[in-house]
Amino acid sequence: MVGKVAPRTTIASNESEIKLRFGGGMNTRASSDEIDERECADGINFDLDLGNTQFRPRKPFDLVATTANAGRINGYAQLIKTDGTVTTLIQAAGVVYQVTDWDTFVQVGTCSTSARLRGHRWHIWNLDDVVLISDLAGVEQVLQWDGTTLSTLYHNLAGSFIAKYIYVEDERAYYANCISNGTSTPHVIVGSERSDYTVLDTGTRPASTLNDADAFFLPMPDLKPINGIAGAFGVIAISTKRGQMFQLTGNTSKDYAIDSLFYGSYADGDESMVSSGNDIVYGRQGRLESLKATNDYGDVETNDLSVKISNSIETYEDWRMVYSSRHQRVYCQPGDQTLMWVFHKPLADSGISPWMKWTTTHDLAMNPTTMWTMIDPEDGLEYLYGGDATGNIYRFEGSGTSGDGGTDTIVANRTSKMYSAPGLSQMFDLQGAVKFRPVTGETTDLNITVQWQGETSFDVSANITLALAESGAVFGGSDYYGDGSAFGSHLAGRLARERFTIPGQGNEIQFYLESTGTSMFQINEIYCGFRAAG
Amino acid sequence: MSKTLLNGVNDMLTRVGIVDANGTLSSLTNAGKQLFIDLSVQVWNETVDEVCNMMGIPHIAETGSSTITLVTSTREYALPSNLVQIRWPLIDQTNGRYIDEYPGGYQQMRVDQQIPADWTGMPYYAVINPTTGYLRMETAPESTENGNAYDLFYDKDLVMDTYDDTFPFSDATYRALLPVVTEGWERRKRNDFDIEEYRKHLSRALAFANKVNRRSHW
Repeated sequence: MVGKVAPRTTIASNESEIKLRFGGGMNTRASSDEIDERECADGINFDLDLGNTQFRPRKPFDLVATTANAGRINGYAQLIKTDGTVTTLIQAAGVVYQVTDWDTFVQVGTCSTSARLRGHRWHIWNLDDVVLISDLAGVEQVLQWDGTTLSTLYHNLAGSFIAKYIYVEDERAYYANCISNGTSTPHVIVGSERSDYTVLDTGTRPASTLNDADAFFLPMPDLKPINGIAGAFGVIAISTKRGQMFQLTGNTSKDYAIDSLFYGSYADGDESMVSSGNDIVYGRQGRLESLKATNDYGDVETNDLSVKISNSIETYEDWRMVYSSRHQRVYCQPGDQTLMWVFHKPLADSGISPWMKWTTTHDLAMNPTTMWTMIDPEDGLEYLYGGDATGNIYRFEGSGTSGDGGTDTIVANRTSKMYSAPGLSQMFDLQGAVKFRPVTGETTDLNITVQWQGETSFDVSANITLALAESGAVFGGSDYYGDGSAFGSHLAGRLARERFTIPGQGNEIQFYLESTGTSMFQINEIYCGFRAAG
Repeated sequence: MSKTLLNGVNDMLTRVGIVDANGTLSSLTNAGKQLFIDLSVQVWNETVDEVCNMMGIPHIAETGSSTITLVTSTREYALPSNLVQIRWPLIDQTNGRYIDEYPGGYQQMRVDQQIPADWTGMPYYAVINPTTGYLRMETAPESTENGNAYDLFYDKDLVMDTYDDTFPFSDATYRALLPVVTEGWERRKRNDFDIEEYRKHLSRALAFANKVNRRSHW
């Protein structure tokens, strides 16, 4: 993961001025006077962009649909055929619906209400254009969806066959954490016959006596339940719950084997491991790690993806991890927590924090019953989705103009790096200007709180109303000079300024910025001039 | 004289930009700003003292009064705790007598009275005993003087330390002093002092404080 950030040409702090720029994520671990100027010491619901250093609220999540049965959203599957045709299934409680657009739900099957069906992109068997559907809950047999019919996987084994995880590569389907004919073998991975995902073998290990294409099974050496399988950088990695990370090696059924990849991975949670394109990211108790970095450099803290927020997540476990290749983000949701940590991959290795923390006042609470990424059935773009217990499906990073779920305003805030006056002096007579770019909406309130620190410690706030793109005509018509809507041009795309004055005096200051609303704006810079003496 | 110390602190801190109209203090206790508040109170008190000293004559609310009642054979009497200096003489407003400051002070009294117990009767002079801080009479009263009450007129300590203490000035004087105290505050917190500003407004404040029209001729 390599990223380059925009040059910090306007970041400067000296005795007479501070120019606040943004663009970095949260760095809650380092002392607030040691973090990068573009990072923040704390914050929620801001957005990051590799090529932009603005402060802007994250986009809202949109309520895209509610299933007919209003059942708990427990799963999904999506088939992308070789001809590009996309079909999508949504599991709402015990019903599986096909969704062709977000207005039409057609029931195509039923399942246990406790099932947690998964039909990820890496489940797609393109030889026959079907998506294989696993069940994280381990109650439903492996299903398959061919774009028309949802059916139980036909296979050659006796009795039922359940798999919690599936991974398709090189014309083989790998089924992991299996229950075959009622016998649970959570530590076993079953490899199908090459070119036929229905031919399985739970009794034969790879051996020189087998044909190259034969089916086989392999147990995990630590005998712990498999809790993830993913492929990246030429490796099929298999994780065991609070155990180790293994890799599948070999080329044929004669020599497939399970080798140790990382002894102390300790991945936690049923969906705590995800491929992020050129890496595998996994969550463990209190940490989020890069498998590639661990593989390359060993288990060292500096390779932890979460090193800059480690103190903020040290008690979290049971992670759910989802990756969006379009947004190049890994969405990390710790079990039962009402927040989501978002890893913005382009900023990894840039030196500044790639982490955002998202929260909401909406009932979804950033803790969906199921979260996944898939191609939107309507616009064909990839998004993160989440469901709730009453059949609602939400699309993250949406385009709504009424806030989260179309109802809740978004509170976005950031606490800046701490700036110090030279030597023993103190800053005072602080005046500044907010340079911003309106996007949507009429106005938004920006609260600027200066946290004076040092020999004295107190907060002073200023509320500034930012007139945005839809604030009305500037001159002409019924608007006239001085009616409140006349000063300044707030056309979308133009930069606007609002000035402010903050009383107080102190050796150090931090800036806390907060906006609440449904409007979209970008704050390019906050300029502050001050005097210092003492 | 309706301005309180809290008004003074708020006005001063507003003028130096520590608070603004939306964030004025409601008391003289504020954990984050205590350093600024304490310095503000200190500067106000110093300035009030300075104005009173420079005026020479007792100023409104600057003086206090008390009563010293003679007791047989008692030479020394406690003084009010807020006394700064006595405005002599003490006057017995019933009998028309007075007690003036002992010429030469306490040390001279010691020299003059080799046998202090021999000095009895009606006192006409007194002096503060620097050892005890009490007012020592020239003589020890006898039964004849017992009960004579003398009015003690004195300059009192004008210290303001609670939020509702009022300034001993008119509001006009108070306004004139605001730039003065601001300079005093900034001198200590910002190494910034404008002597011309300080003198100009202190003069203005003194002119208002006297409550006397300036002479138009001599």
